[in-house]
Amino acid sequence: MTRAPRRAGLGARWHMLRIGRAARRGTAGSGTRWMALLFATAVLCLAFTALVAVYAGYAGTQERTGARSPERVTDGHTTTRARYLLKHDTLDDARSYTVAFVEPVDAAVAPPPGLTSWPAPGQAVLSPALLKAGAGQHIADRYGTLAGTIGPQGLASPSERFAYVRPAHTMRGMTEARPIHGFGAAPEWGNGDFTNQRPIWNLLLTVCGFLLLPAAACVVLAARIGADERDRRTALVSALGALPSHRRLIVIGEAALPVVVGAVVGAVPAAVGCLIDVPVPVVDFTLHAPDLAAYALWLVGMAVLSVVVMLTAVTVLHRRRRPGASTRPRASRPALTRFACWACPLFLLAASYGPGLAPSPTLRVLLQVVGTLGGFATLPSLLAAACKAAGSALAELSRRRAGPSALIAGRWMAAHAATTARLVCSVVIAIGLTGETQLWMSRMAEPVRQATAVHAMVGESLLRVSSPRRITPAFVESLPEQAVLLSLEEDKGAITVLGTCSDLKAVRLPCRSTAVTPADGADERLRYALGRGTDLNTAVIAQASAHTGRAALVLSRGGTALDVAGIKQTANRTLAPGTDVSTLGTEWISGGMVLRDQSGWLLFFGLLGTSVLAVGFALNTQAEFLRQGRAAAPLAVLCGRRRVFYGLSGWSLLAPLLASGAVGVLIYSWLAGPLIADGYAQTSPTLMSVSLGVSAALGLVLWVCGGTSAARISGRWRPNGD
Amino acid sequence: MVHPNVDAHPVLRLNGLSYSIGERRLLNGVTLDLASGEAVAVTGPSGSGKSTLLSLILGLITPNRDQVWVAGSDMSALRGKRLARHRAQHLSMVFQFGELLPELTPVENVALAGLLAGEPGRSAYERAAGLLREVGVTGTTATTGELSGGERQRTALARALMNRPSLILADEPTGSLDTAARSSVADLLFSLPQRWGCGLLVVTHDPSIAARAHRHFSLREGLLHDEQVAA
Repeated sequence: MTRAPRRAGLGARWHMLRIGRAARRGTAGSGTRWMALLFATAVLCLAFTALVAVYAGYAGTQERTGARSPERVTDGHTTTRARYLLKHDTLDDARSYTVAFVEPVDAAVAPPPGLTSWPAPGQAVLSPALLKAGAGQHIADRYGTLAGTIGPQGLASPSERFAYVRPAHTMRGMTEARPIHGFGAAPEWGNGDFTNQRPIWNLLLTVCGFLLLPAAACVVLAARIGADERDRRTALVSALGALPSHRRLIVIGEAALPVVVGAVVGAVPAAVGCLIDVPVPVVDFTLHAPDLAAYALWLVGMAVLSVVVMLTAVTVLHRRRRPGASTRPRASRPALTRFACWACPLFLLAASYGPGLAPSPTLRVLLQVVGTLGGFATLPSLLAAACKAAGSALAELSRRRAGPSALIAGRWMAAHAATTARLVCSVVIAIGLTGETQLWMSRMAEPVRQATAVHAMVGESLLRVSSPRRITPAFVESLPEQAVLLSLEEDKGAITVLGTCSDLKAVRLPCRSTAVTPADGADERLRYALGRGTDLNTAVIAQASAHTGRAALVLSRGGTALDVAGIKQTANRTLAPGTDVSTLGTEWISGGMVLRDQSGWLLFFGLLGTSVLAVGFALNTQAEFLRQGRAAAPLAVLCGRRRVFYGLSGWSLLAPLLASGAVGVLIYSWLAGPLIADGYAQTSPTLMSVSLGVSAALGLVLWVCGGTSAARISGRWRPNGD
Repeated sequence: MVHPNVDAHPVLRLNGLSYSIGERRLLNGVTLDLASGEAVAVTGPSGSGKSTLLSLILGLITPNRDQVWVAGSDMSALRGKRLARHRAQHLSMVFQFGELLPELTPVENVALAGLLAGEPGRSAYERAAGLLREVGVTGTTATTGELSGGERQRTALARALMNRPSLILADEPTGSLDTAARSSVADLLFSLPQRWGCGLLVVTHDPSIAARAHRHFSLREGLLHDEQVAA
């Protein structure tokens, strides 16, 4: 006779959930699983909400950039209601920002978004971020009198540097200035931070790779922590006739509370982001709260989704032990381990030094990719072998020097090397991959490298002035005493340098009208400014202010730094709107800064993902540690040495995490060697210190938590007629 | 078997020991004196309070005043480090499944008890090797997890002797062994009191094991009842 399949009624379902909840409380190390489930759900929720935040941030940026982009008169409007000129400027840090020169023609035309009224002639309205960043560089009065700050609705993000300037003199007749009808159009290229944004899919992929993937790994780890005990319980309830739905409900009942709490914790950053503007660490970006708040429902949906995914994972990954499954330990794979032990260093060698020896670019990239992937693929086996050897060595050392903790921890590490290796490996690979990404992103293009080198040589002792109109005597007269002004005129590739006799002599040019080559002994800065081997003509003028060209060089006598901020400020007051005053190579360095800022996102999510992975694997290792710690409880109690668990925890959790941080940074530095040797890439001290700091902090927390938990478990031990 | 003089210096004195869990009275005035060199067995049905009795003797559950004396000290008067030190100096325990660390070798498992008590490594390992020779576990470099059940229990006995205890408690020490191993481990166990001058309290379900003790009690209704021991 076969029994008809039963269905779990509502009462039975509730009862199963309660059984699961009670089962959670009864098991040793359940606190660690509770934390692991909470953490995994929290990071999953964080990853999901980060995807929404990326979308919301892009949408907000695009919307506000569109709202402040000018409606051109040619775009179907015939009336000129304002004039508009878009320029760019930099602060000392070479980060470029937009300066919009504006002037209303029609008194009734609305000012740009974020401004309550049009600035008066000679006034400027700046973004709060620009005011803050340029506080030490006279930014408040660089463009005129400060008339206020731009409101958040007029900025792509609260961290955007932006300025609206109304020149003291009218822009009428300026060919560069555009006639506009008003504001509100498709986002304009070159208008603020929008220009430097990478495509949205780029950042979404970064979040998926660096945060969602580690979160998924944590989900799997958390679902399987303490699996032996639950698998035994499942076998028991199955033997008692439980249906699969009963088993699922028990598992859900056990996990539900930490999962829900985890989703709430994971949603906290998003909730905070809905209420206040949140600056994103590492990258120079602040998320505008209303952008995120507009997607509040989506954020709630993501929190719910993380609960559903986590509970699905715990039920799906909860295996029912198959009857007759072997209980014998599986044989290790010595051949694979032996292969890994010699192959891993070779792969890493190929990745670091192979590209430098490769004859072709294709082979270079191939060696880099194969070496890196092969190195990381064989690293776990190598680390497992290393952990096994380290464990045995530690146990042997305990005979002579170290105490009983080292003996137990050493034997545990040797017997369960894979557990420690997984922890070490996760941290090492995470640091290595993040570092490798950072290195590739920090590689500078050749012009940026040259510009950086020139800037290092010349610094702020030379400025190039380029104005839409002639340079005014007022500007020339305002220059500091140690400044030399040379006007430049270009005609069919030939450059004529005009200056007073004193100024020409100051840069070692002859005080007469003649043709010279700068290499013949002129100030070396001229060669950087005008190019090597350029034919020059010199012309002598009686007074610097008597000649007014559109381009000039300002140099300091003796190569000392000029007051760049002060000269820019004077230029804005005395020269035509849109005059560019910059140090040599600024435009290239600014371009490089954009790339560096963009790579900041990779670094940020890479560090976040590294931390997530490290915590996930650390919790997994702690659960294993507590499981093993129970075996030592009776002896520790009988010998009156419950403090031994702090030593055990130190060797089993703290030491591997400290080692993994150090090994990760070492591998990162090794892989970086060839890339930084040619000066094209830079290692990130931030990445190194954060990697070491996170692994050490995590190790310390686990050391205390693991030791305390194991001591507490041993304190509860009683002889119970086992 | 020569019966030692119980009245001289009892290493364990239970003096009207009572203990309740909620409304349920597990022990109801248990009285027992156990001398050095003496072996006492306690049997009883499951739930009769045998494990609770061991916990009270170990001081893991605090007894009432003057009810449990171990090696001349009232266990109720000891707290914290003093209790832990007294337990480490005078008490050892042998468990049904040995409770050894399977990853360690037998000599390491035995030496560990000495190391945890602060004994220098060299001396602890030398004494551990000697004790293992004495209990018949020699010449093995395998981990304890790879030993047979009998060898594991012999190792556990050696570990129990490591700190030269006044009293050894044994909780079903042969419960997990086959007949041959059970007999040889029991022989060894019951030889310890006289060879080492310590007391032995064995809790067991097995009447054949209990019969090897000097005295045999059954724990029923919270009291120890004297059972006949074969001469």
